[in-house]
Amino acid sequence: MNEAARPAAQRLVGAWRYVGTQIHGGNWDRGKNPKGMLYYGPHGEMAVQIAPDVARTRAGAVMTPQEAFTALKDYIAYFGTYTVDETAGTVIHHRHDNLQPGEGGDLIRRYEFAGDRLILRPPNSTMEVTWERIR
Amino acid sequence: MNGQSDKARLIGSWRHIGSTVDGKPRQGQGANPKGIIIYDAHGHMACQVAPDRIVTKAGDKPTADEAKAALDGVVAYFGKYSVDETARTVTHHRQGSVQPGDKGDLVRGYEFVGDRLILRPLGTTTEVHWERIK
Repeated sequence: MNEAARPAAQRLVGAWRYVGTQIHGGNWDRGKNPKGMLYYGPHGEMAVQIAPDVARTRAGAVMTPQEAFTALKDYIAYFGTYTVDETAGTVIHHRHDNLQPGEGGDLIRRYEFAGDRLILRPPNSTMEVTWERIR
Repeated sequence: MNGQSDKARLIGSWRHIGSTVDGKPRQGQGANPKGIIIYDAHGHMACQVAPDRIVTKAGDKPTADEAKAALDGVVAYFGKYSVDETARTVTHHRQGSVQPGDKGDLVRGYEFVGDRLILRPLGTTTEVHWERIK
């Protein structure tokens, strides 16, 4: 079966490297060289991290609140399980834990495969997050 | 699984079971910390461990104090990994980590016990226990 004919639930499985985020057609600013990894496991597990390109420094043995603020800002890190709705073309991330305070619950993303890339779009938003399959 | 290399056995995802120091539960992680570690087939890895706590923010964005509380005890990093089957260690080459001042490689002794993986930071009595997700 060629790649495009495989069910999305199978095509999603694996690790994806963060390429970038667009909003309103422009780049979402995460610094010069943000890095990230998205993973969909074969057993319904998922995890994602995106690290903005900023210096996360600590002057002493224990971080100060300001150092924590800088380190945490825009850093995405959550994990849990996922389900795919092939009819709707969506993948739902059921978060078991989320790094960012005050955020939890499910996230719905429309998915699109474009060659080696995966584009995820929150509904009712102009945001697109682009990932490249790690091979 | 006989004959399978350690690297092949590592590949997949693992659920955090718990951490111990000197054989006792690690302090500061709460009753039910959660976590996942992933080793993929192409040398990439990612790890997250979250203490059992509620992190909140009063406004739209976390304050500096809320950010510090949110990061306290959290592990979140990713990058590449390499395995030394002779030394029985796996090295995590971190490309990103949320913790300020946290960079460079981490070397972990590994041991497989049935469906479990035990990782031990070298030179410590800390053990982190993982269970294969399947």
